[in-house]
Amino acid sequence: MLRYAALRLLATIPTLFLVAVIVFGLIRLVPGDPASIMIGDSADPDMIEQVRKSLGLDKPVLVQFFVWLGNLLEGDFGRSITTGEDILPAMLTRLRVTAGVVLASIVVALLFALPAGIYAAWRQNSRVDFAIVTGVIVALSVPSFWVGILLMLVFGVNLHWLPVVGYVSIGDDFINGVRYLILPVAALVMVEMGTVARMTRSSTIEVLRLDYITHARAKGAPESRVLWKHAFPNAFAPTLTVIGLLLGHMLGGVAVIETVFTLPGLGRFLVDAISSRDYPVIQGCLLLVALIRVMVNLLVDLLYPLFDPRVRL
Amino acid sequence: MRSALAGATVLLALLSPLFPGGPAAGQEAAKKEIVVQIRSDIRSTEPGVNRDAETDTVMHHIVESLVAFKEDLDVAPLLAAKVDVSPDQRVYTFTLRDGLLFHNGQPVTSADVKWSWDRWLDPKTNWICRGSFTGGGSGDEERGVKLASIATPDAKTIVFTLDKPSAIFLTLMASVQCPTAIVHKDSVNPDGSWKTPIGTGPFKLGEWKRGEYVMLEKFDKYVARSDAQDGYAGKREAKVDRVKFMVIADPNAARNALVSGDIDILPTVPPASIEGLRLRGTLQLPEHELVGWTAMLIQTNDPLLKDPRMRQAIAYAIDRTQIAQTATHGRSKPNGSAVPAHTKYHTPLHDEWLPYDPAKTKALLAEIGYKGELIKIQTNRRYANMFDNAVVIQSMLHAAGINAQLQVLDWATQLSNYQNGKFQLSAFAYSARPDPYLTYDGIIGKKAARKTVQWENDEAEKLTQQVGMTTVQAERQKLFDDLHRLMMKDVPIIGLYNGNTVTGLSQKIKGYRPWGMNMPILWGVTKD
Repeated sequence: MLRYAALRLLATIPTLFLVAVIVFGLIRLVPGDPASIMIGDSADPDMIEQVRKSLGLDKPVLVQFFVWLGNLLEGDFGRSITTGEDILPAMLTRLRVTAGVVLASIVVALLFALPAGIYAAWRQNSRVDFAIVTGVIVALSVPSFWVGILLMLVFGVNLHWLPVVGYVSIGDDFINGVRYLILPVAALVMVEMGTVARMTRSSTIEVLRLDYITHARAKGAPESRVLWKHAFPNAFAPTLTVIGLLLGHMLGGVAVIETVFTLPGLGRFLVDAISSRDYPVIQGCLLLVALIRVMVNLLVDLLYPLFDPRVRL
Repeated sequence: MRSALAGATVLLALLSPLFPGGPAAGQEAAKKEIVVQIRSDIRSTEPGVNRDAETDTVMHHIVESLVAFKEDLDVAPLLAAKVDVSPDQRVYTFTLRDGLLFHNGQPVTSADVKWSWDRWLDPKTNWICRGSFTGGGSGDEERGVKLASIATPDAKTIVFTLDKPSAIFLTLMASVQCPTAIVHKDSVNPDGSWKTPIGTGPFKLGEWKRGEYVMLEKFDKYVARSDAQDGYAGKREAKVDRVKFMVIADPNAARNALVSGDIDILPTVPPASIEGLRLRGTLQLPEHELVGWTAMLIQTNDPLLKDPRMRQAIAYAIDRTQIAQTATHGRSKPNGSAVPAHTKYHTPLHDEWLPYDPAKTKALLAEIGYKGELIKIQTNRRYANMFDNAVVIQSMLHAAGINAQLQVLDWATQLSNYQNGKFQLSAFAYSARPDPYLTYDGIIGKKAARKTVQWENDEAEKLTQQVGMTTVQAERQKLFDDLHRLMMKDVPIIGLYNGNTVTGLSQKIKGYRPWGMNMPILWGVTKD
């Protein structure tokens, strides 16, 4: 397994290099550059050129690429063109915000979605199953930002129970931090619950039809044991893949939720950088997102044999 | 049952800190600070270098210039006690006010003023308005003024000498986009790079939490002017301990934050939310006219649009009243002139423009021999008013027989196209220019030298130069009138409206004065 993990880690290098080349090239194909945005509508061409020069954007693109790549190999992601921030710590600070929201929402979603999915499968075609499936369809159909706005209106604007904008780190002030997280987490939980419950239900239905489950029941094992001891581990393996995909996707930034709730997360950082053509931030963020995806996928692959012993790494 | 009740009580006790009773919570702390929305984070704390509108708004509370704009957009002394201008308008002598202090407690002297100016004018600083004071412009163009020298005969006197007379020096000096800020030398690092603003404003920089907020603290030793508060000029007295500029990008989230009490001031209420908020009756919603100019740009180099008759045909096809009413929910009238409505130079003549007359459009199209060639209108989704204007104009052009198509871009792309002249029509908005001269100067010139120029006309260029040479109101009025008459003939751009804004204020806020520049001013404001 260690060899497998090492090989997979090595394979990330060409992946990340490709991401670097593509991201660097694509963003420069888009019209508009940071200098022109900085100067705005009172543009003086000489001034734009001067700013462009000061940012190193007057150099040939290939030179810019290799300078960036060289710095990257030394662990230097550079500085934001718009704010002058050191990019690596800025990204990690924002990733912490995103990770807090995403991980909390996934944990809450799993607490509800796994039992719901398994129960729906166990009682397939019953009224409860129908109700759960309907709930899943609704959860998957409703955009999270809409849920967010709705929650904001009810619990923030009308009831005044929770703040609607802003962010306080849990590390700085636990109680306030939790208050600021409740609404964005709740908005994300809906979508995650739908995805996880649907996958859990369908994989559990498949597993419950297998011979070894019939055998367990024939032995007289109680239903709870059949479900949780025999069916769940096998049914969870495909769900784990979905959770991995979800996690990889969301850790890259939940830009819309971050915008609606004014969270200083990675997604908003990236979107703002794209709007202002902050090349180093865009490049850094996308590389980080790619790295997160690769690592989460690797983690899921390494965890897979724990649930499905047929898989050998 | 009893144990269930006990469990519920414990649970409620555990959760109660999370719901401390809504906005009343933390009221003691809120009393001391005002929370204001900004749409995006500030770009830096270095005024006029790495900036945008939000950066300007925040920085004007921290740094100050020798002069500043009043609400009527005239220029008045700020750090200066008085300004003496030589009869030939070449020599400007400023005398500093008594008792001025920097935020670090050091007194402000003429040497500090000279040091600040020398730094702004140093090409290495990348100050975006440097060209305005060094006879800038591109190619053969001469724009702005050229400073010949800055002298400091004594600790309170600074003398600026221009290479030739100019009537716009003070206007340029009061610039909102690039404040000619007087800062202490310790604002920069030993290598000359920017460290932090040590200015003279009524507030000093507290905490900047990137992506979240900028907190300003009251400067206790601030010496305010004795004349009444007036725009960026006059008395600037901080009446609260802190001002928190909170970054809220989403307009709906900002509206909700205002209603819930998370913020106290929403500088621009989204037009669609105004009536809803009014019906709630729990907020103050003052309205004010703006100076910025929303327009449809026309590329006069385009093979089809270089014919003035084609541009006139487009102008006749556009019902500007309908556009202004739609975009501002009935709160603004159209303005085809570069002179902002509701300002002193906007006489009835400036209300004149080519009327909405689709029949004339059709006649002109027939005369030109227009065969349905496609005209693209560039717009973006970032600024809702630009998008709405483009959509309405496209349908009006269609109705008049012009084949127009929308080209929706992201704002950065559209801005880049504007700067490079790469468009046919572009739904655009100019940021507020306090003096009409600055607007005309921005749009008139040679496209070969400056691609952002919209209007190439020698006579218009000459008239603009003449405006820059006179401070006599009657003379300036005549020149602005002549420019507008010429513009109606040439139609190099179609002005739509200046617009207005509704500000959302909590009932606790007193003394907030919105003004045409649409930049929130937090001195003189109290919170009950």
